Amino acid sequence: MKKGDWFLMGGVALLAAASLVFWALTRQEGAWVRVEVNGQETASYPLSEDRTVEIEGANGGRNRLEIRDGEAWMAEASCPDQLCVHQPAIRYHGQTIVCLPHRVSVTIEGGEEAPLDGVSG
Amino acid sequence: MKGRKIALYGLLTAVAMVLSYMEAQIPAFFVVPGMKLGLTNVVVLTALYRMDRRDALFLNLARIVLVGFTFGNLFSMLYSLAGGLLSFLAMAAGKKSGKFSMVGVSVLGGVAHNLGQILVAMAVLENRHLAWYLPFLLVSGLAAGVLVGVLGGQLVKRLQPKEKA
Repeated sequence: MKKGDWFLMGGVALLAAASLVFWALTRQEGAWVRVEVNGQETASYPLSEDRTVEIEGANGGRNRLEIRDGEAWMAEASCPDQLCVHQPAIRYHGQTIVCLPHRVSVTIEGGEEAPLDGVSG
Repeated sequence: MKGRKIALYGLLTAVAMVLSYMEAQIPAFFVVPGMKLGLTNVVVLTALYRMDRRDALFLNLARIVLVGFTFGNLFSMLYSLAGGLLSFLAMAAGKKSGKFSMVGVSVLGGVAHNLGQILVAMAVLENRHLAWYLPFLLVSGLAAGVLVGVLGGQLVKRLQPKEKA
């Protein structure tokens, strides 16, 4: 091991920590769950309401989306690889779950209209 | 000498295939389908130290195409290509600079591999928010890089040609 190795590894770790802090400071709570198939929005659901959604993806694929306790995750998929099912639940603005075989993506959208904004008034 | 080189080519390609298969069994890592941890970099790293840069590049491309057709699809090949080429460039440059040992070169490769893949994912899915996975990808690139570097060091040591008595 050379000195350069340690500098490099320290630098990468530092960068990871810095971007993690940046992410934690800038993340916004999500408000909506947007479902897209083939890049076209097919539906949006409020993140605050628990529900189960059957999504019809491309190529006859099916995905079951669960929205519960302010989180969304893919509970089931009819594809062989099940990668979207393994992806963790999402809750913050911009987080996405993708099912590539069915061209389905589920994205959390922020809520600018913030229903709880009445605090100041 | 030529026969030995051909044998090494075959050996390393086979190792890359096996590692790719193993890697495909670790679903927890996937941020986006098709992404890989980059353990197969051990082959490219070994070729870089044991053969030369051109051989390493050839091996890299060969394993991407072979693995893509065997275990993957068009998307996973695209990710592999972006990750593989970027990590190759980073490792070749890192080695040439002389500032790093094999572990450092491998870490460069691991991080570059993950960055390349997330860039492709962002382009393919037109989703810039995937950049949020960056810390995770940096750390996993670092960990995979250290692992690959240590493994590669062992491989290179053991592949050292024996002197004729």
